[in-house]
Amino acid sequence: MPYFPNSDNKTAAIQLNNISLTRGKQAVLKQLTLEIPAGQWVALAGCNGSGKSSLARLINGLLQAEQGEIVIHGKRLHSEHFFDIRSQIGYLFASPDDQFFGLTVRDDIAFGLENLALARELIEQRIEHYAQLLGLIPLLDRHPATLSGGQKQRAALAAVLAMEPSILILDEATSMLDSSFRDDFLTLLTQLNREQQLTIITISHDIKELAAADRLIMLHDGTVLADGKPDVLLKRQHLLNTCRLEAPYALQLCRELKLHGIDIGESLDEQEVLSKLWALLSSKSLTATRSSR
Amino acid sequence: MGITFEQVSYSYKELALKHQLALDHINLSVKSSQFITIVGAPGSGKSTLLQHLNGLLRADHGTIHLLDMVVSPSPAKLPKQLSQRVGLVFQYAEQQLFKQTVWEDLLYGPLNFEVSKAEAESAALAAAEFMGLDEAVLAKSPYELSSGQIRKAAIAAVLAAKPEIIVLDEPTASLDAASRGELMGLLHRQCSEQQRTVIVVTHALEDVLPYTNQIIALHKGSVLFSGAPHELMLRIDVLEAAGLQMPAAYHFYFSLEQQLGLDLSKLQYYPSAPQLAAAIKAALDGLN
Repeated sequence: MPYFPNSDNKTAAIQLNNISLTRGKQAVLKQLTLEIPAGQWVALAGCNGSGKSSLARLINGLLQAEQGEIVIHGKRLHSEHFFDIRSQIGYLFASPDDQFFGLTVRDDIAFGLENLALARELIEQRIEHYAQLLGLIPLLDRHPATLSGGQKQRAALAAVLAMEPSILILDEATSMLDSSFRDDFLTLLTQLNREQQLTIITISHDIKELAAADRLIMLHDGTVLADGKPDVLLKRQHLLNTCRLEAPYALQLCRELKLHGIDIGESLDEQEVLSKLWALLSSKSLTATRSSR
Repeated sequence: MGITFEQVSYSYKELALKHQLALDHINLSVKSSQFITIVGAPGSGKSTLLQHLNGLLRADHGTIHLLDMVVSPSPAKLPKQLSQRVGLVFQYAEQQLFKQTVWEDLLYGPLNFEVSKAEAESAALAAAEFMGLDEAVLAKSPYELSSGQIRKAAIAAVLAAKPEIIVLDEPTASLDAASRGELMGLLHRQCSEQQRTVIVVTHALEDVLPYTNQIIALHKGSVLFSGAPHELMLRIDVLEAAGLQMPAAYHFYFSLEQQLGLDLSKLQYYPSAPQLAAAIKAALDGLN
């Protein structure tokens, strides 16, 4: 059963009807049907080569399906609406080098905005705002080639977010961010998703990133393997195995403890597991103190 | 005979950069045949340092000793064979492959270093086998591969030239968890079985912790920390400066350490979930 947490919101941002795609002789996607409501945050998971990136590229028209229909905000994705649709979709690749062409980070953020034919003043405002959000102010006048991998990813994120798309697709786009900034970035995405009803599709192998989404779609071999709430699916070991994901440490610990006859339930959340362990240890030590008296 | 950096400094001169020191009097020493990890916040100099290891960048000042080779600032000549003895896998491995097929890419390195065709083929085959690339993959164009396969192919292409030092920049970025573990295990075997030195730049500490001997943290072009993994975990200041979070295993470990009366030295390097669960069980039994 597909899972739609915002089911009162009937508008679909993205509809895929019976999509098939082959590359060479290999079927990449097999008769895939999916609906993503506006404002939903969907995480796509699957092992390398499962069809995740191809699916994302179909949605913004970088690839064309041999069969089936793609509808974005009620409009069919074909030549007539192509540019209209593309301007609503922000797409970020794993490798940010492929999307830089300006001489400075500022130019790069401005480029997309100029293409949207925004007023100069508004462009400046947006650059400031998004550079601030992503901690890029000190880097605005640097040449993109002189930035480190993580800094480039931040700059590319700012350029895409500044265009204020209604759909944001992140294809492994946080793979080089350091872990503390990645947390800030997830918080920022949550904020954009909740406050501006931004539809988000994240492709990732990172459990934390997958768990942050409203809905998790696991792809395998070009078909949907599972579709549901992240905290439910991420506890199913066979799904983790098929998608070549590693169970989070907190969950591994819960399971190891159960093997020792200590059942604290299953959770993906470190803090929750720690609290349970603390409670368990302190109640035991209390009983131990009492019985020794 | 390992790798040492003596007072090595480098600044980017081109473009909009204002002669900022990317490497600021770096002193470093690592042993050969070890698995070395370099961490640091974006812009701390990690990639710059790596590129000094095979002469892609030349230091402004200071000396680098690599095995029995000495790299001095230009105009001194680079040691012969430097680029063969030190293999570099870039951040975006896919940009390193440019031939029609993966097989041709694997042959390119050895042939370029003037070995015979037969030798090149046997080296390429050994590297492909080691990385688990089968014939079907070797016959493909690099563009037909998935991201995990591309990464493996790029590493195999570097291994085929039989370098003594293998340097990799963010090798696990965008790989799935199983591929990440597999790749790190393979690299570790390069140290333990082939006595090669592996140097990895990463921000994914979890990936390297079970394997690495030494971690070096850079901060603003200087060495902030150099030591064993468990020593790094005691340095919250370094983790913060490097933009790293304490891996879950250590977070649990330190949070429960006092209640459980744990001793880090007894848990070896990396407190795995089974080890920690056993320690919790033992502590609870002790209380009963």
